[in-house]
Amino acid sequence: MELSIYLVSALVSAAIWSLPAISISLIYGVLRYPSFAIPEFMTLGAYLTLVLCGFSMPIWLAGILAAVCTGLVALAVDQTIFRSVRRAGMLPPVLLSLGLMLVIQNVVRFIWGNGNLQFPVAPMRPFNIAGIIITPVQLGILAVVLAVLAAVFLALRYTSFGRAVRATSTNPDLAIVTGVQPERVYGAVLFLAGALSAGGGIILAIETSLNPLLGWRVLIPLFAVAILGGLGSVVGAALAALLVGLASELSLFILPSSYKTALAFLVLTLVLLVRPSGLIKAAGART
Amino acid sequence: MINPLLQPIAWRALSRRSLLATCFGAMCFATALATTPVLADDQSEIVLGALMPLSGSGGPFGQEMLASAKIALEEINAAGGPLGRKIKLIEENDETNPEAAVRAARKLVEVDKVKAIFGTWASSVTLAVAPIVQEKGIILMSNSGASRITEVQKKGNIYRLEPDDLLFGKAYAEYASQQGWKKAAVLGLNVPFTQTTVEAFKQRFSERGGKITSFVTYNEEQTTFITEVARALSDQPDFVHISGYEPDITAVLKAAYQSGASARFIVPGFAVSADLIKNAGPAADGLLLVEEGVSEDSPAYQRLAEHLGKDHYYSFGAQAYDELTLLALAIEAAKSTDGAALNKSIRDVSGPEGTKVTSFAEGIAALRKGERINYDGASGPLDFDQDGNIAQANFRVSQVKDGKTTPVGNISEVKF
Repeated sequence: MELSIYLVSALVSAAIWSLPAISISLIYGVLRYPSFAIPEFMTLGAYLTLVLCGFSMPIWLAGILAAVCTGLVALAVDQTIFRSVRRAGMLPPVLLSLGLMLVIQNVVRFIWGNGNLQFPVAPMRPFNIAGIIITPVQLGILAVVLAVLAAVFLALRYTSFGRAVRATSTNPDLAIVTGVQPERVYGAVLFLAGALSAGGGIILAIETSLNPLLGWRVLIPLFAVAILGGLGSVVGAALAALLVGLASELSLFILPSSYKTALAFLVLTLVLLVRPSGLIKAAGART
Repeated sequence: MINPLLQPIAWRALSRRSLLATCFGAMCFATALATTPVLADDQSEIVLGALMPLSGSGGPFGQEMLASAKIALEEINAAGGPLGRKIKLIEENDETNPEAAVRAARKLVEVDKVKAIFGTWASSVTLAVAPIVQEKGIILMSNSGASRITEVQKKGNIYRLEPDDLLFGKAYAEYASQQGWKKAAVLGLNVPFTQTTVEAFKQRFSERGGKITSFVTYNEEQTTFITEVARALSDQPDFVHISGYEPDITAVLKAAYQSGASARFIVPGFAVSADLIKNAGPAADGLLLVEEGVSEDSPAYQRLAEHLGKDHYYSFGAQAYDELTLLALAIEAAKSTDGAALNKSIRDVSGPEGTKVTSFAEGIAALRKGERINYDGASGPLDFDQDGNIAQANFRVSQVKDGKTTPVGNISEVKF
C-alpha cells in the first residue's frame, strides 16, 4: 500500500522533470551550451495557460496553445539575441540564458504579481486500481508525458528533421555540406525546447500551485537529471528522471525527507563515477 | 558718491521694499514671540508615529490598525491626554516593504521628531526599522511574529504585541490537549522558522501528555508531496500540524486529498489567505487555523468593535489600539516623553502587578492617585517578558467549511 504510493509519486516526479530536462539536453546537444532559461520557460508556459483558461478554454487546449506560444518566445529570443553569439563559444550564451532567466522571472512577477495562483482544476479524489492509488489528473499527466516522449523520440529518429538535428549536433560543418541549414535546426530545437518546458511547467503547476518561482525551484534537480542522462540524450534524460524520481521517493523508507534533493546528487555522483558521460553516452543529440 | 539723479528713485524703490520687508519681519517676529513660549512650555502636543502597512500585502490589516489607533487616540485626547497634553498622530505608510519603511521611519524621527513609533506589521519591516529606533533611543511597538526579532529586541526599545512564533507552537499544543488529542504528526518545511516552532510545539505537547508520532520535513523545490503525507499519516495521528508557508501548505493539502486521505490539519493562520482556501478547494475543507486572538469580552475590545462594526474580527486592530493606549499611559507614568524613561515605564503600566485598568481614562486616574497599574487591553492581558515579547496571549481557532472560515474555539492566555 505505502510502496504503491511512493511509486506513483516517483512516476509523477519523473514525468514533471523529464520534459524540461530533455529541453536542456537537446539545447546542449545541438547548440553546446547549458540553458538556464529552461526553468523560466516552465513558469512562463504555466502563466500563459492560466491566462488562456481565463477565456473559459478547457485546460488541455489552453496548455497546448500556451506551449506553442512559449515555444515561439524561445524561438524569437534565440533568433534575435542568441544568434549574435553563435560563434563566440559556450560562455556568452550561458550568461545570456542566465540573464534571460532573471528577465522572464521578473516580467512574470511584474505582470502577475508574487501571489499563489491555481489552475481551475479541482483537486480530485483518487481511484484505487489494483491497490495503486492514483488520481485521474495524475493518470492523465502520465499518459500525456509518455505520448510526448514517444513523439519526440520518433521524430528525432525517423523524420528528416530528426536527421538534420542529429547531423548538426555531431558535425555542424559536415551537415552544412550535405545541405542542412543549421539556423533552421537551431530555431526548431529552441521552439521544441520552449514548448516541452512549458508542458513540464504546466504539469508542475497542476500538481502544486503557481507562483513566479515555479521553475526556479526545480532548477537544480533538472540539471541533475539532464547531466545524469548524459547531456544531449533524450532517452537518457527520460531514464534519468525516472531513476532520480524512484531513488528520492524510495529513500523515504530509510532517510528523513529533507535529504530528498541531496539524494538526487548522490545518485548523480555514483552514476558518473561508473559512467562518466552519463547514462547514455552522447557525442551530440541522440535519440 | 551716490549719483544724485538716481538717489530719489533708489530711495523710493527701497522704501517700498523695505516697508514690505519690515511689515513681514514684524509679523514673523510677533508670531514667533507669540508661539515660542507655548512650545517651550510642556503644553504642546505629543507627537507619535503610526508606521503601518497601508498598502501592499499587509494593506487590509494596516487600514484596520489605523482606524483602531484613531479610536484609541480619540479616547486618550478626550480624557485630557497624558501629562495634560494632547497626542498628535503622524501616519506613515510602510507599504509592507522594508525599504519604504526605512524611508518613512527616518522621516518620522528626523522631521516629525516623534517620541515613539508603533504599528509595524511585516517582520521584515520591523527588522529594518529596529536599528533606527534603537539608535535614536525611542520605542517601537510592533505587530510582527517572527522569532528572529527576539535577537534584535535584546538591544532594547522594541515591544511586540503579536505573539511570537514560538508561542504559536505552544498554542497548537494547548488546543490539541483541550480537544483531547493525543497523537500528533508534524509536516514541516525545511527552514529555520519551522524548526523552532515545532520544537516549542513538541515540548508543550509532551508536557500535556501528547505524543509526536513523526516529524517529516520537506523542501519547497519538491514536485510532489504525496510520499511525505503518506509517511505522516501512516501512524494514524489524531491530527497533523503543517508548519510552513502558503505555497507548500496548499500543495500538502492537495496531496493529502488526492491520495484519498482524510486527516485533521492544523496550520498557522498567518500562512492561510483567502487564496489558499480558494486554491485548495475541497482539499482545504476541515482545515483548522490558529491565529492571534483578542480579549473578546474585555471592555477595550467591546469599545473597539462598537466603533468599527461588530461584523469583523479585529486582531491587529486591537493590537494597534493597545499600542497607542500603552504608550500614552507610559508617558503619564514616566512624567516624560524621553525614550529611556518610557522604556522603563512601559512595564510599570502593562503589569502584571498593579491595579487592573482597561482604558486610558481609568489608567490615568489610577496613576494620578499614585498607584501602579496593569493595563489589560483589547488584544490580551499585555504583559511583557524581559525581551519585550508578549508573555501570554490569546489565540483563536477557526475552521474552513465549504470555502468559508468560521471560528470554532479560543485558546486563552497561552504562556511561554
